[in-house]
Amino acid sequence: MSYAILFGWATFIYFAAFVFYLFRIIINKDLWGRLATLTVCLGIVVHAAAFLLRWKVSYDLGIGHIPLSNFYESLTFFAWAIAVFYVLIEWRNPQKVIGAFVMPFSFLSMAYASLVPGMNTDIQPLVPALQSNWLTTHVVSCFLGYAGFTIAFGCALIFFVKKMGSNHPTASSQTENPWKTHLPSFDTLDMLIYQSTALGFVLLTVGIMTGSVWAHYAWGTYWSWDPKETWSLITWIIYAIMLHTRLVRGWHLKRMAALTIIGFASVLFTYLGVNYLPGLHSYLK
Amino acid sequence: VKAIELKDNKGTRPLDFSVRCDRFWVDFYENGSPKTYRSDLSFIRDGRVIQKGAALVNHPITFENLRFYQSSYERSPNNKAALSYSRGGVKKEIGVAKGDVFELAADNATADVLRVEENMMEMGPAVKLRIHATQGHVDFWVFKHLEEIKAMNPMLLASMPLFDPGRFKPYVFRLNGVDNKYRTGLQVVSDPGLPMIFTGGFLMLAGLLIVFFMSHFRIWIGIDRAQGKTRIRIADRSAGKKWITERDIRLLLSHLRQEIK
Repeated sequence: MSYAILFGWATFIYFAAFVFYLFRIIINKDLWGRLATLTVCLGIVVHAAAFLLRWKVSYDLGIGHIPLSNFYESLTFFAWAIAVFYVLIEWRNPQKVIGAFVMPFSFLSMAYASLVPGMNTDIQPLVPALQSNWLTTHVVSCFLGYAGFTIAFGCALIFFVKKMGSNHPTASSQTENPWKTHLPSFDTLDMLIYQSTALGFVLLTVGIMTGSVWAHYAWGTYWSWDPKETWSLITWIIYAIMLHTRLVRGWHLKRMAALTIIGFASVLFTYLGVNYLPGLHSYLK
Repeated sequence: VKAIELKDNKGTRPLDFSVRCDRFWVDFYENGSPKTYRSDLSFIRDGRVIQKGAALVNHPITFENLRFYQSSYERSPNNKAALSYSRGGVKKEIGVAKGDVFELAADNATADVLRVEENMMEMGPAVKLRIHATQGHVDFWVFKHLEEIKAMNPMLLASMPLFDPGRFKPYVFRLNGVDNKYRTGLQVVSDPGLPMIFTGGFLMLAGLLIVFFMSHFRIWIGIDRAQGKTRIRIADRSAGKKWITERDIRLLLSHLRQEIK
């Protein structure tokens, strides 16, 4: 079976998982939640198989390298990282509802990778600048970090959805949308936002550090103010501010959720927007 | 090379050794994207080669606290072309570069080498010549792959005399090849602070791990039974903010309530 078909299946399975999580919220039967979790796990396995197969095929083509080298491969890895990160969070914290706000990102990333016109889905040989063992460490830690921020963003979305309307003094628990009561409590959301942001922050720090060490080894400079580097620093600072305001000033709940959304916008720009600026990381042609 | 140019126009620094580039080459993949940039370097001191090695992109070479990086390259503007020409049955071969002049003594003419192209309009190596003779001058191109070009476009020589290497009769020119000369650009870095930077990096990571993933508060739970009822008491001690502890205790309580239910 070709890896392209497997990637297609993974996309479909992620979408199915999202639908099951929605059912879990609306119907409030745990059966749907368990089905959704199983579906995500299946998606992760199928996706990993596709990843390994693409890796193997690249060796068969004589240009063997880990499939983390261009925009298409990074998008698919991003989707996978989100799913893996989410399953870990759910395992630690059995809140099935969050999946409905996180799995769409996995699905969208896969769909974007396969639907956007001009996306080069071929296995391309590595240009000299990428021929390094640092490639894997750098890309994997950055994208796991992005995945952590995505989960935090999903939780912040739930936070605001739950917040909407619940502040009205007239809205009693009867008039409120019944499914809103199935959403996790504000305390849980706050904790999940903090945990996934902290983990994402450490991973992003590792990603920036490995990138810097690699740059030093490949080009002789740690930092060259390439747009991607600058924006990753901006993202890093936003999340650093967020974590500081929490640990030092005691900001929590709504302010955390708002900062999470700002941080995620910065992540998106670092990942996608920067491609339209020239620089060392412009792997979008 | 015996000296290096310093960053930001801070002048040059002489080296107490010299560096020679023995070979530089660029490899390409089948799809045309570059595969390898590589310079074979020799480090020479007092006339002896001390160390030999290759600098590749992503794989610098270290010599005495200095690291040499493959940073750029360019084509040398003075490519040499191997030309041959025949007049009657007499054949002659010469090597020429752009701007060279050679004599066609038998006919009292001179030839200027106007251009030497490695790949002229995607049709391969070519040389443009201008022959000055007593009756005036004539220009034409000499393509290496003329036969292939003619095969694709049979009317070529009739419509474009500029492409005819036999335009200056009775000579016929042939181009045997153009050798590409490259220049390699090396970057040199001296970095005595490397251990410090690595130490700093590891300290920072260790700090982050301690801040985020080590527990900063303790919680005590006491369970006792009195008069047939079970009492659960929760107490805590924390270094963090009060609301974090409160939140965590609230979460713990809600878990407990669920479990008891």
